[in-house]
Amino acid sequence: MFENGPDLKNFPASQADLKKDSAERRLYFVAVGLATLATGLATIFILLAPGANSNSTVALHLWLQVATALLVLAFVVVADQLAVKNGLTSRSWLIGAGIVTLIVFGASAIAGEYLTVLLAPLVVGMAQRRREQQTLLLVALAAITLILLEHLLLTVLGWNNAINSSEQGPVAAIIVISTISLALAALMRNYRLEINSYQKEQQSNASEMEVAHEIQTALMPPSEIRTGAWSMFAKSIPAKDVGGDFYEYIPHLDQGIGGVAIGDVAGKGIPAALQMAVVRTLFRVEARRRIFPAETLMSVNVALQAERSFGMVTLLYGFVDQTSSTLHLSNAGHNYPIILNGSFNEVRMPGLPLGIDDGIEYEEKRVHIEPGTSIIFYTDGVIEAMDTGGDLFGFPRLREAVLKYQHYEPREMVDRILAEVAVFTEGAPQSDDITVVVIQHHKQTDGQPLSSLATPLKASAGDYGEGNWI
Amino acid sequence: MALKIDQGNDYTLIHIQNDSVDAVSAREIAAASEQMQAKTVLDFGSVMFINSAGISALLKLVIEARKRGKKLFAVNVTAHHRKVFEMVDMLRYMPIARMDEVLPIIQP
Repeated sequence: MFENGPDLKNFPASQADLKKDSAERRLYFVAVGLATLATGLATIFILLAPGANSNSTVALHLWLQVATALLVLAFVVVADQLAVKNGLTSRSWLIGAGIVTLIVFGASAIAGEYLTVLLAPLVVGMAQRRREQQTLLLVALAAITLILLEHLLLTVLGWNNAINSSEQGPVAAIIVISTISLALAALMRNYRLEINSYQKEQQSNASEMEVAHEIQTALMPPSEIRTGAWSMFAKSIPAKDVGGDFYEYIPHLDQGIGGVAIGDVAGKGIPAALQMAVVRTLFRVEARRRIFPAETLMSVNVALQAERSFGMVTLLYGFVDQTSSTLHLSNAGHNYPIILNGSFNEVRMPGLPLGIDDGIEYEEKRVHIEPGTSIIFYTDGVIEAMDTGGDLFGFPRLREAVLKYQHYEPREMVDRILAEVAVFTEGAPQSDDITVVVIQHHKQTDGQPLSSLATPLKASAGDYGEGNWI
Repeated sequence: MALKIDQGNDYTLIHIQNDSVDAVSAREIAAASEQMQAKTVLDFGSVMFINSAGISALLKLVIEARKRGKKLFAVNVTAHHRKVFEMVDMLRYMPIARMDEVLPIIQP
């Protein structure tokens, strides 16, 4: 039983849904039309019935039946419309239904027990008020059963003498058709209202998602950075429903050192985007207070433990000492960094993600980076990108793509790796954010001082201090 | 139901029957933690996809179970997920084994 209408989570807001909605509108009007037609036919049938004009008592009974039927139908249709449009309370509706029920019983006592079946539309309306769609159909079925039983019982007992049974059969059938039609009409309209409500909610969610996208994009640091012989390019392609990928750059140019981090907050949607903003803020604060990545990750983890209900965050932090060309790395459960220097090397460093357990100490590794070396950070959206057949891009394909484009500049390398992923997925929906960061130690620095490479800061780079931003 | 649970004398064998482990199915696994005995085996034979919410929930589960003195093993894990488990340090709390290696441990 659906307590709150059908499960509309499975109804994506789409053109198909709009078409479906139109189809249901048509079906609703067809059902209402059928009910009206059935009632009209019942009236005509009774008026033209043999003996209707010759026997005044029978005619009175027939007219009483027609009048009662019309009253019930009018109540259900009009009261339902008023309820939907003007917010008629359930109490008012029930009082009205009670009065109509008394009239039906009174009329039944005079015109015959067939009239009791007219209570069925009232029960249908009641079920609709309670939004129990299955009840609607059960009531319609019950109406058929009831009228058959009544007919059988009254015939067997010989009490069915209010009207000639040959006239009652078709009338009863028409009343049943009316009841079923009403049930269908109520069901369709209720369903349409639910879908309309769902579509409005989806539109509202979509605009919230757009805001989340804007916040996420605005929070990202500049995508391209160059300091001396080092350059970096990063690109993040957010999934439709907003994930929690991020990358971060920490300048320490006075010491000739800069940090690059990449992370992924578990989950999707606005909660993940907000958690991502919190983690990035914590990380930036802690990274500026400390030099070594392992200490920074530990501090961020401790800070996150204080946040209740915070999910898991993977974070890989690399810290470049340009004077010694050394990369300090620490990893909290993120995909291993790749070092490319003619060959493919992963720096294997397992670590628990942040926010899972307190008291965790993170390992730190130092890697000497020769000129001509590229370092690649990426998120799981790359390796778990799925094609239309459900196959993952996976680690082997990433390795292949990285080796194929290892001699390109960071921007070109990132674009080409992402293009490989896009070709693989063949337009299948992107379920997770995809982020790739490439850091490159150039073979030639041209002997220029850092200041000569500098270009004016972009507005969004203001938070990152004095740096050489391209 | 995403899980099929077999209970032995002092072990529990949990077969994950969904092809993906996400936040919902991970919650079901977490709910099954009360039924975990001293030795518990998680069978990932049907699992094709584990998202970050699933990894998060699994990690919390295995760490909590280990803190309570339970031994966990994972079997039938794909190469892809083996590497993911390694990266998030899950293997420290739940080593991966073959079923024929685990059976003598849980049924000595």
